[in-house]
Amino acid sequence: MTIGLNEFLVVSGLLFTIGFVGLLIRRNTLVLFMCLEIMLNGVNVALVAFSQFNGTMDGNLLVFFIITVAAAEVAVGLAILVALFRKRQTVYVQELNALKN
Amino acid sequence: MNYPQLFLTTLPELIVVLGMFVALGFDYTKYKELDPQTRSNKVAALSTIALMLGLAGVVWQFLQVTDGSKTFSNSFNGQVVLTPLTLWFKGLIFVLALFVVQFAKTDVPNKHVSEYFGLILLSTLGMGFLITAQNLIMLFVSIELISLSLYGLTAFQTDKKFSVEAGIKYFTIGGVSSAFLLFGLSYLFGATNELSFEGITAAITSGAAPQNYVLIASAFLVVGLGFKIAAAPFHLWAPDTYQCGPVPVAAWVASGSKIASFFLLVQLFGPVLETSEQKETLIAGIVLVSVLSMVLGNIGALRQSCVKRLLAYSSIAHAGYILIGLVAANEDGSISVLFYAVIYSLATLGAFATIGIIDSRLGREAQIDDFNGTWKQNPGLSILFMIFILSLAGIPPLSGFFGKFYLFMAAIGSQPEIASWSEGFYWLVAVALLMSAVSLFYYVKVLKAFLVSADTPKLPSIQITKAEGAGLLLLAVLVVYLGIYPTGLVEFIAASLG
Amino acid sequence: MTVAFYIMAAIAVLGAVMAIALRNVVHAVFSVLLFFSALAGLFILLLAEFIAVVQVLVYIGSVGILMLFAIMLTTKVTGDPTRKLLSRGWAWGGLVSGALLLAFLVPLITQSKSESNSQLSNFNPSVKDLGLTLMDPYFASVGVIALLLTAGLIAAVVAASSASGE
Repeated sequence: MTIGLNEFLVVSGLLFTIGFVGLLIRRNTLVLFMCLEIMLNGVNVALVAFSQFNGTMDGNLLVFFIITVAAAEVAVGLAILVALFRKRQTVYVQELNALKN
Repeated sequence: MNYPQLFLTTLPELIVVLGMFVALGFDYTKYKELDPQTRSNKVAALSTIALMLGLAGVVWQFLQVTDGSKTFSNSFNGQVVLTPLTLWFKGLIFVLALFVVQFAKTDVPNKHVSEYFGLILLSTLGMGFLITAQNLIMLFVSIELISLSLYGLTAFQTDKKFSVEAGIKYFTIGGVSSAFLLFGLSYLFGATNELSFEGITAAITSGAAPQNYVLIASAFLVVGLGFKIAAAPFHLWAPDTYQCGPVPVAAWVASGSKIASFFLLVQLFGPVLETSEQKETLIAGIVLVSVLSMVLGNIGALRQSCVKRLLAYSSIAHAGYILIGLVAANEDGSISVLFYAVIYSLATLGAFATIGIIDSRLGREAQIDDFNGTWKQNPGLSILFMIFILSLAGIPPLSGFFGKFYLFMAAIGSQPEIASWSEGFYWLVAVALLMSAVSLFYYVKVLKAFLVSADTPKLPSIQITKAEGAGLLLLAVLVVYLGIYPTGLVEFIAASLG
Repeated sequence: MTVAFYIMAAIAVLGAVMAIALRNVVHAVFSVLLFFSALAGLFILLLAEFIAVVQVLVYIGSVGILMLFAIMLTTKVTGDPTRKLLSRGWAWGGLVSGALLLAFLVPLITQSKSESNSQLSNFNPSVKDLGLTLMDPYFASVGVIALLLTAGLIAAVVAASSASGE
């Protein structure tokens, strides 16, 4: 059995779903950021697979931009997280209840 | 690569970036010893100059393009598409940013003055680029530029725990929405093997694109963009962000980023909805989102006592109204979406700015009760606020009424050509009308506190600065003008879309 | 190819599942690193070597380290074992929505005929080609990325600098 586009796409969808489930069930903000990264990496697999199987370079380029943006996003997110920890001494979402109406 | 042409094409943005760095440089060196308010005034003045020069650049490009000049005909593979329509909306974004800078300068959250204005300018540029983007790479990059700046701005008051909390929530949910959007974009690319909208539309309309991929792409794009425009059930970030970030930032999230997102929605979904085989599924999905937004937004707003939160829920409801124009899936629908996005942004910016002024003088978040009897002490401010709120409520002759009118007419006039919905969108419009009636309750509640309540005023007489006063007055004039004379703008949008 | 693909995919999925299931945050970060490296392996199988290298450099090299630093700056390193990993209602909701998402995706993906990997060997862009494409049509986007990094820098500095002291 050969490995074709569909196998890669299924893996990509599976990774995206795992990241999404993690976002829904975990309460630690740091783990939430990791889940975001897992979702984005799932997208990258799909893009590279499409790009390579379709024989165009454009998808690879989009992956570069995604990786750059993801790194910048992690930096900002972790900075906000550190600010939050300084203020509240917690990184757990369920303790962030000040905003409930 | 034609670098001189790229330079001319991105001239307004380059000017604004230059202005931002000049402001940052001065703030770090020359103004270092001054007190925050003086620094804020100086940096805001520099930002205003930069934005005005940038706006002049946009106007110059607009005149060139309408004259039929070929200078900007190269769009760099759809990355920067300059047409009269995109330039008009980019100019509008710059104008709104000018207002936001004026409202922001009296109440800078902390000592990071130039960073505050720098992020506002950077998000402005992101919105401008998003409007002119017709290429998936540029689309993604500019959306992320907007988002990153807005995350930073929302969490700006690091000494206030609510602000940081709202920042974390906005960041996490924004990240999820970006991931969904990207998943959709990757399947759009996979289905069509193209990155530019032109190529994508051609591939989808010609039927060359595999329908299963197109369906996945549309579903994920609806979810991702639903988060960005704060439509239910993807709206959970909106109330916290609007309530807990700095007020000018909330105003900016509700106005500028909304216009840019709706412009993108029209450009991305317009052609797909008119032709695609997936039309039926896609329209059903958007109708569901629209109805949920109207119902949850309006019902949610009913029980709010904090005015900013009330406006946040009302913005969710308005996202629902605007989506009605989108499902009409014809040119009238696109026109009405763009028109409503413009007038909604003007009115909501004005309303948030008024509340921001009141908040900063009160020193805390304004509740509806705080407005009791404001009329007696501050008649001018009350009248302006009344104009914005009545426009949001859709009372004729203000522009909000005509916006809703066009949206609903477009929906009724469209032939869905979907077997199960042969009677058109009458019931959808009926829901919208019912929900508009519900919305009157809370808008009138706010106005009653302002105008009618006999209590002694809680607010002292408010001194507003010249810039704030001029900004509010100009916004109110625009809201009234577009209500009395809407055809000019509508005809312009129609002519440039066609 | 087939065996390598299944091994890499299994490691990637395992790493992702462990990252969201492990209680200890440091262990979770290490399983995410495992996940990142397995993905680099998948990219090599797709003949996108340069992206694999970038993946290793950016994700394992910087993002992972950044996360470890964030842990050191915030929680106790071992995590907090007394906390419940997840509340039960949410867990079921999350798993059900995940299953729904997969049930939507997988049938749609497998609808198309799977193209064979023989096509892959025909397309192997060099780093030079990639760089040229990045600079020629997509230079404007690279410029916007520069703005984005500026925005990220400013936002991170403001958020991380303490408001009370210098």
